Amino acid sequence: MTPRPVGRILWLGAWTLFLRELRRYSKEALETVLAPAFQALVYFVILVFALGPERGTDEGDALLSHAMPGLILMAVLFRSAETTAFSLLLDRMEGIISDVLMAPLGAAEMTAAYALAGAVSGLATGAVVLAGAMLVWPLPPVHFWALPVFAALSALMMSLAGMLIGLFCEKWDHLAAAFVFVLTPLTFLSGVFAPVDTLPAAVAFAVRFNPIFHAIEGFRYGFLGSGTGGDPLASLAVVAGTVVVLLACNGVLIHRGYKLKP
Amino acid sequence: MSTHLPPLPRDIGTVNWIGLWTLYQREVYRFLKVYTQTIAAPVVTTLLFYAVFALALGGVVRMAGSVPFLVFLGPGLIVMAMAQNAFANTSSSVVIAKVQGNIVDVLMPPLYPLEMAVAYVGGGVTRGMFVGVVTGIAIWAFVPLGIHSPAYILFHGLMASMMLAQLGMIGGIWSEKFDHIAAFTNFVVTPLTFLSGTFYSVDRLPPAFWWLAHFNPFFYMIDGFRYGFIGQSDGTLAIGVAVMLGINAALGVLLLRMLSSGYKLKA
Repeated sequence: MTPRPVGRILWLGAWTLFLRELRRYSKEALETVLAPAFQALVYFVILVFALGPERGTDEGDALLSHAMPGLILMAVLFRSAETTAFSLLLDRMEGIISDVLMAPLGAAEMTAAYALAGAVSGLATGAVVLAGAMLVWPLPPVHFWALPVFAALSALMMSLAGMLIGLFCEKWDHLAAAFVFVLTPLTFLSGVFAPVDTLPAAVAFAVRFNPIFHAIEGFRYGFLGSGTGGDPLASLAVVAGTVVVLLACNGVLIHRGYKLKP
Repeated sequence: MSTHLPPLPRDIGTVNWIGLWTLYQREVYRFLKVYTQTIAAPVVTTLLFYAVFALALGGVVRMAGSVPFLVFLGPGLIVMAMAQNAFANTSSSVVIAKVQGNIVDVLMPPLYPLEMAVAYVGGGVTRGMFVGVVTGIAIWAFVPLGIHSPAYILFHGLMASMMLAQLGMIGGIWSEKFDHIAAFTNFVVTPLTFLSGTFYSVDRLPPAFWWLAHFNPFFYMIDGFRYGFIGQSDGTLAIGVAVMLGINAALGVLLLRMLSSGYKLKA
């Protein structure tokens, strides 16, 4: 019996893995879509309420307009990373990763399927948050092109980062630690809520080396225009460069079977 | 020929102190064993919230009543962390035990519902207090908080932890799978802890919400706890004390009824 020819790229396999990952996400829509959207709304309401008499003033409105793009993108970033990290770690811990490793999928196909599913899940959650945001605080985008570009690249960047977390971690404690002690601070201190120049000078300087900051900055540029001071093309380069680096890391690790194969 | 009598049941007295203490200890060891997730993580998260909201709002909202916004924000965040962690301790313990089936280890021993409730809720309160003290010290390092009335801090800290620990146990018993308790956490407990005055004085609320806030036990818990630090409150302090005692008593009755009827615990 001759082996079944699968061609240069196993499209069917990669597509199947991609779909399985997306179904895992959509099956838990209450936790993966509604909960982040609700959380973003809670953050926004906190800001609105806390403004008190400053509500409706220029200063107050500027604060809300600044926060809104950050909150939308934050939902995208976390969801993308969570989808891939949870998936890979769960499969590794349960041993069902062998179902994926047994299939005639190359490292490139596997990486692409996981990473794209993570990114698409983040974007889907982000679309719901965006729709809600536009109802609560309509904000006409100034540079529309930047929104899909930065959203898609940031989602991909974080789904790849999530894959690395899913590969490196040995148990749930590690994964929780990676999110609480690394990803959350990196995101929260990247100007989600407040402009980074309100940070102490040293932190504000350090933040510029954080790709998540550039992701948020670029996305915000799409909504608010050049008001934030940074160069959107430089931010684009940083995010795209990070995607390439993370892609290479994942590709190599998966190719070698790092923590995947005995 | 000697007659064999069946062994007499062991006399455990009115209160099964050993059982109660053992279950309490297990609840405490459960969270101490994973202290990075149960103590360190909430502290880091709380500090992040502190930094982020202080930076976001600090420019526009400089004062809350007669105290600086930063001083106002600290106690609210501490009690929020205490509440969320007291809830997490009991709810996760009960749900995991139910899903894995080892809840029988707690149901089989000769423990009365009251003993079970005290041990579980005690574990949750202990976690709440732990998190409160560590978070308090961490925030203190950045913004020195004065203490106006230790009694109010202690009372409301204890009552807040107890209320949420009881709520966590009730939620845990009600949940049939992790999704249920996650939804309860995400859609009920988290918004209530976030939106009940942690980040703002309720005097800043639009009138309808201001009115609503005075029916929210979470508001009195935060308000009274904060009063202990800054000596300034939005609501009436006596009402706050009464509400906290009342809600804890009501939750306690509900919890005991659930435990004695075996609701979703016994076949």
